[in-house]
Amino acid sequence: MTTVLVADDDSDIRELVSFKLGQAGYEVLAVGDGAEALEAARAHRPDLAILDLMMPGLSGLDVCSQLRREEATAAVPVIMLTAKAQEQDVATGFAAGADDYVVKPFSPRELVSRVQAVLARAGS
Amino acid sequence: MRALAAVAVPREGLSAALPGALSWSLLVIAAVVLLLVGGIAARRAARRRRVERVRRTTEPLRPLLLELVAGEPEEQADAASRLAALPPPVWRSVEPAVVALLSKVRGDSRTEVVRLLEERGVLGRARADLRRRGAVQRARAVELLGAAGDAASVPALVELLTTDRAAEVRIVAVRALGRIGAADATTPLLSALREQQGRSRVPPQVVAHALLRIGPAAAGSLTAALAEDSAAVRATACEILGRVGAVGSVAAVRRCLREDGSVEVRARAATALGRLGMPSALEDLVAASAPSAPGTARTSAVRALGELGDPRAVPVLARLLADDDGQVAALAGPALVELGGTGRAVLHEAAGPDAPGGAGGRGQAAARAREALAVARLREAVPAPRGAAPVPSAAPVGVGVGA
Repeated sequence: MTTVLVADDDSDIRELVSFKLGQAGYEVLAVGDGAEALEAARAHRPDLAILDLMMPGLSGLDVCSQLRREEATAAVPVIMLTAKAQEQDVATGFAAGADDYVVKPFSPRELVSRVQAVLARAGS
Repeated sequence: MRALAAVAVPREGLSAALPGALSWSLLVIAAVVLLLVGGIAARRAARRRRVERVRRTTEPLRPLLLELVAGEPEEQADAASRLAALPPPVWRSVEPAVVALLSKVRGDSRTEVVRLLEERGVLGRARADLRRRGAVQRARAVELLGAAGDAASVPALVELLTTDRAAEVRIVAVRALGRIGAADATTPLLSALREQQGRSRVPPQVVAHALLRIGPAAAGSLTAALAEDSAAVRATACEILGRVGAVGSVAAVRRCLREDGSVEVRARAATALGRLGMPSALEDLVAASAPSAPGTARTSAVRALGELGDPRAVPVLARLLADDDGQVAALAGPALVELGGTGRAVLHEAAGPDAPGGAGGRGQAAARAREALAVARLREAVPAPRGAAPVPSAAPVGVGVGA
């Protein structure tokens, strides 16, 4: 089963994304901050990670850069899910190694389509 | 003296009465403190009970809320009808959780939430609350209608923006109009920037963000606003036109750069032209970068020449490396880097071994060129610090200019 790591400090968003991805047939690991996200990624090697950009402690950018640096997680596709919608923010997300960028408020249906597309590109 | 003697208490009488009065005062204070502590504890306990009651009520309904915003269409419809049929006391508990979802989802999911709130009369109440006496109630209603993207309330929100006596309500109204994407509100939003008694009615950056959210739909009104008599309005209009990529406004923005009486407006026009990236702006930007132009407009024009990306700007920027204005000269190097291979070739030529390193124009040009090339090399070699936002290429969105 394809596993997706969801990291967001907003419990509503976490719950919402987990519900939608669960409905779409994915196994979901949901965590509330960047440090937990890194730990979960190292322990479970998810097929994809959805990271909130602004989390307490390690941000989504920090987590993404760290995942890219570590051999075991370097290939995990990352989707940034964030309220920061300015052109520069998007560019920063991609520069950190993100594969896609979804702006909050988001459409749960569109998010699932993006997950499917990113996974297909990654060959999972 | 007689009067004083009349009020004077004999010394022995005072010392006898004092301990009794003190004890009474202490008793009263202790009683008041106990009452206050008891009251606070009771309030906290009541709040805890209320929160717990709400949690117990809403917890079983969470799956229904999730189906409403993230379910398949038939699940969404079923969840909506079940939530719409909840008895009023249960709905009152779950309503905040439904409202909170508004700011988290968009598309069909948001539409379902809005439909439910309309059906339960929440939006109707908010529209009525716009006329409440209390500013907090008005602001809450505005916030909710903005989050719901309620186009029907735009005229009422514009009225609040124009007439409300509470600054907080005006600010929330601006944000709500931006969230709704109310293109019709562009002109009133810009008018809120006009100064009254030395201050605009709403902070310029709040208006600018709202206009950005409205986006290209605001371009027509923004272009018309370039002819307004308030410099703050013209500067904001230039800024937003550049940021929303309104290429149809290039001619009007160019006119601002050439003719506007405010240096700040000319600077914003230059920045906007750089962002818009139309080659037709080259001539005006070159003119604005000339030594005869005012300082702020010059620096913005030099940056914009780099952003515009037209190689015809290379000789102009190469000359500016030796400009007397240190800021202009310092910006010419990075602008040449932005222009790619041709710009870099000129920088290498200016920085090369043939370039004299002594004082004077050519020496300064060589130093600036070396500096620009070194920074470019560093940027390419070293990735940006983790989590660091890129350095903005121009001033922030907020515009503060005297009208």
